[in-house]
Amino acid sequence: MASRELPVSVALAAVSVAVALNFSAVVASTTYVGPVLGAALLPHALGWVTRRWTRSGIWGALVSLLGLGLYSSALEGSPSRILDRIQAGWHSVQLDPAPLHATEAVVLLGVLVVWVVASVADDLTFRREASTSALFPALVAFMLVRALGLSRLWVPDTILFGVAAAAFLAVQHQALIARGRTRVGRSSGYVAPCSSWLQSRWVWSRSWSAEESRPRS
Amino acid sequence: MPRKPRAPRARRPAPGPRIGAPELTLRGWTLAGAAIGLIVAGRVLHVVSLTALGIAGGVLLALGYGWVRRRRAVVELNRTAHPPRFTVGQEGRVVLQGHTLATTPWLTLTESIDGGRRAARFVLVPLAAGTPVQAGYRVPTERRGRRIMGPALLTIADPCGLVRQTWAVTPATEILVRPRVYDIVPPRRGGGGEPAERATGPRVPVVESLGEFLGLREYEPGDDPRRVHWRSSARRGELLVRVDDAPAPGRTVVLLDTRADLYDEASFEVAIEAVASIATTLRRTHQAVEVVTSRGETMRPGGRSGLDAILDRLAVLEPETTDHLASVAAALRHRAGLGGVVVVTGAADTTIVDIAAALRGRRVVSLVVTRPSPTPIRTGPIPVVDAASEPFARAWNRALATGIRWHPANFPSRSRSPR
Repeated sequence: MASRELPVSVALAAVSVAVALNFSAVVASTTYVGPVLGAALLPHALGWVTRRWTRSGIWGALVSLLGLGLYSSALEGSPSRILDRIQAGWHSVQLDPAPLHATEAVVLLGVLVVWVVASVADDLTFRREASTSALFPALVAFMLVRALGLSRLWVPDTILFGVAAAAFLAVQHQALIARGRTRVGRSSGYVAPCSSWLQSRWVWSRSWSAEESRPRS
Repeated sequence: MPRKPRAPRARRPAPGPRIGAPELTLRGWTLAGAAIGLIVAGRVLHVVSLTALGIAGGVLLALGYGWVRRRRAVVELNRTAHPPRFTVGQEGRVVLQGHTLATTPWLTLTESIDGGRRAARFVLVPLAAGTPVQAGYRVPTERRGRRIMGPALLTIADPCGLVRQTWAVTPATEILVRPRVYDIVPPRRGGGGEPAERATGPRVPVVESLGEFLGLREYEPGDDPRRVHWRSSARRGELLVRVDDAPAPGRTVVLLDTRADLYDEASFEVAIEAVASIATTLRRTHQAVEVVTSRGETMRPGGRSGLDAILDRLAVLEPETTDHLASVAAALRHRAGLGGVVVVTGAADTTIVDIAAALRGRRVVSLVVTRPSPTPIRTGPIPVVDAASEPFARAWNRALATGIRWHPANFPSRSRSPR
C-alpha cells in the first residue's frame, strides 16, 4: 500500500510545487520561494506519515492543522504574531498593486494558501480516491494567482503545472485501476504508467495465473 | 390511516459501457468540463495561461482517444462452469480461461452476472503475448433459477484513465441452478398388487423375491441379508446376493400442482425440491418416472440424460395461473401402465384431494403438502407427507417407514406404456 501511494504522493507534491512557484506572478522577489515550497511539500509528507498510522480523515486534518500552526510559528518566530501578519498580508493583497513586495505577511499568506491547497488535495486523493477532482484546489489557486498577477513567466509555470497534473492523473489512474478488482497475474509492484512502451514490455509473469473473485452487487 | 409499506423496487441492471468504440470515462468528462471552463475563464479574464491549460486538457483527451483507438481486444477467453450444472446450496464456480494474443497493457475485465445485477471484476496486469490467463468467481447458488453469465467485457483505458474502449470478449451464457435434491428413501416394491411373476411386459432385475432367478451379484451395503446366496458366497469367498427377474413396475407419475394461489415463495421451493428428490430417487432405483404439472406440461426422462432434462426444467419452473388440472387428472385416470402417483401441492384444497382420490383404484396415490391449509381437508385413506410442518426429506422418509408402499399396477397394457 505504502509503495503504491508514494508515487501518487510525489506527483501530487509536484502539483503543489507548481502552484507554489506560480506565486512569481504576484510577488516581486524570489524570497517567498523557500517558505512556500516548504508549505507545498510538508502537508504531503505529513499526510503520508499520518496514513501509516490512521486512515481517519479527522486525524489527518488535525495533524495537518497542527503542522501548519508549527510551520507558521517557526516562520514568524512566535505564534502570537500569526494573526496580525495574516491581516496585514490580506490588507496588502486588497490594496497594493501586483507585484506585491515579498513581506513576511504576504509570504505567510502564500504559505497558508499553498498549505491548504496541498492538504485538501492530499485528502481528496487518498481518503476519497479522487483523481481529476483532487486537482481542483490547485487549479483554483492557479487561476486566482494568474488572474490577480502579472503574465510574466506564464509559459514555464503553465507547462510545469500541466505536466505535473498529467503525471498525477496517470499515476493515480494506475493506483486506482486495481481498486475493488481482483488482480490476475503476478505483479512485482508499481509500474510507471505514462509510457505505452513501458506498459507493453514490462511483463510481470509468464506463467498463467488463476485468481478468484467474489461477485459484488 | 396507516401508510401501506412500499413494495421494494426491482433493481435494474446498471447501463453498461459502449461496446467497440472509444468513450470518455467519468474522469475524462470531468477534465473536458474543466478544460472548457479554463478556456472560457482565460477569455473572460484575459489570462492566457488559463486558455493554454484548457487547450492542454483538450489535447490530453485527444491523445487518450488516439491511444485507445489504436488498440484491439488482445485477450481470448472462454467461460466454463464447475460443476457443469449447479445445485442450490452447492458451491459453483465459473472460470474464464484463455490467453493473451499480444503483449497487453493494464486491462480490466468485468463479468456481468445475473443480467448485470452483479459483477465480478478483475484487473489484468501487463502480460506477454501467449500468456495463459485464468480468472474465476463463485456463483451465488442460494436460489434456483436461470443465471445469465456475461458477457465478459474487456476494457482498456489510456494511461490517464480519460478515454476507454470496451470489447465483449466472451458472449453471455446461461447457467441453471437446479433445485436441491434430498437423499430420500426410494419407494419400496412388493406387497399386494405386485405383477405376477410371469406377467408379460418389460422386466427388470431386482434383489427382492419378486420373480424368477436371474443371477448373482456382489453384495452391496443395504442389500437384504436374507437375499445372500450362502452356498455361492462360500465358494467364491465373498458375499453374493441373488438377483431375480421380475416384471417392471408401472410408471410413477409425480403430479406437481403449480397453481399459484396455493403457494407462497418458500412452499413452492419445497414443492420443487420434493419433485426433484422423488424423481431422482426413482430414477436411481431404475424405476420409470414422469413429472406432470397441473398446467399440462409433461417431463419424461428418455435415455441417460432424461433426469437432467427434468431437473433443468424444474430449475426454472414458476407457479402459474393457468390451470388444466382437471384435464390432466382425467388423462392420468384413463392412462394405462401407471403404477403410482405422487401428488405434490402447496396448501391442499378440495380440488386436489378429490383428484387424488379419483386417481386411486389400483394405483397407489400419496399426497405431499408443502404449506398448511387454511381449513383442514379430509384426505381419507390417501397417505399425506406433511412437508409444511417439517423438512420434506424427514417427512417423506418417515411416511415411507410407516407404510406407503408402491403397488405397481399389473395392467395387461403396461408393456405398451412408453418408457
